[in-house]
Amino acid sequence: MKKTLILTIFLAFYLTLTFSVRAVSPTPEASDSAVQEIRDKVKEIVREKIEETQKGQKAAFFGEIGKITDESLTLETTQGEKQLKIATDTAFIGKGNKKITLDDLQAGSFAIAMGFLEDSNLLQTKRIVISEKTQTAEREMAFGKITDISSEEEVLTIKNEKKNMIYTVEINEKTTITKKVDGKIQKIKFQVLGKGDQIIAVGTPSENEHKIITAKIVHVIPNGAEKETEPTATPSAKATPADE
Amino acid sequence: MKKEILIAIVIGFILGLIITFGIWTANKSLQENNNKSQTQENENQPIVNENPQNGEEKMSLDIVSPQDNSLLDQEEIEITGKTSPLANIVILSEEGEEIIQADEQGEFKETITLSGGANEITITAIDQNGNEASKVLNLVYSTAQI
Repeated sequence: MKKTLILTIFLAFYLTLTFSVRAVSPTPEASDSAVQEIRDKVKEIVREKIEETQKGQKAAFFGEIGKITDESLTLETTQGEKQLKIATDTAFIGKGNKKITLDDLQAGSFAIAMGFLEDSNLLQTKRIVISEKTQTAEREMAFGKITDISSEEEVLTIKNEKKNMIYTVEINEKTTITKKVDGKIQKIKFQVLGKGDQIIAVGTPSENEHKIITAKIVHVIPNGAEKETEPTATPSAKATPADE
Repeated sequence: MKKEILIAIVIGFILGLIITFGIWTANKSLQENNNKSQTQENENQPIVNENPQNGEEKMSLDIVSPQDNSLLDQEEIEITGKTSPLANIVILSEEGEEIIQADEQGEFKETITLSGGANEITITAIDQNGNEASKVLNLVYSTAQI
């Protein structure tokens, strides 16, 4: 009898303890480092898969010629050094669309290399074109809230709170000012701009005590989450292919 | 007999609850201690911003197409990508500038005109709070056969 009672107490104690401990124990959480590790692994796998997919695809690098050997050359690009594998069928085109040879190449010349990717930094090169480096006008983008407006001079002062930067945005007759009105992007007049408007200005930079941008485009960002359906139109010149 | 068994069950149940309460209290105080020490460590550490650009939060910008270093034989190409919902996208190309806005899913697309040869396209996404993310695409437009 005593044994039965002790056994019953023990059983009840054991069952209560098991279930309640399971209920109050915290669920295991993945630590930050483990999550980061998984993220890094996924990134690595994605990168490898992208490289695999890109292998053998048509690609092109451009930059300044670095080292030149009989079978390869290096190109100093904005993304770092790229290797160009040269074969007997690689065509070399100089300025003025003239055919040249590997011996005519000079370190420091700007070149466009076209071919097939072997890996992200190695190109099986089929064509190398020597050309002038594209000279694009320097442009800068500024984002901020209008803090001051000079209506006479058509100059805006904007402040980017995040960067703690103040920009002076100069407007001229060539500046396109746009805003989304009733779901459509429309050109607006300078006079419509007001203090507190958030804008993005794109233009040619210069500097005094503040950054100055001579704006080509000023786009007013609507307050609230409105959706723009059309991009702003930007005049564009006709391009000529590099078909030397 | 039945009554005694019932009492035994209740005693076992109460004992189990007492022990569980003890474990729960111990766990709770341990967690509080851990949190306190972590807060103190964080307070002692200098504030390190993940993004070097003055307090900018991380913002994602993925260019779906074209791929970087693409060799293209079309003068006009469509740039597609994904970023934060309703972010504004500034595209600076050799031929001009475009400002568009991503949709509610953060997806965007815009047709741009390439210039012959090398093209460096800078794409910047900016959200309402001024957070920015940028990508540069190096593209070559050529009609030459390789």
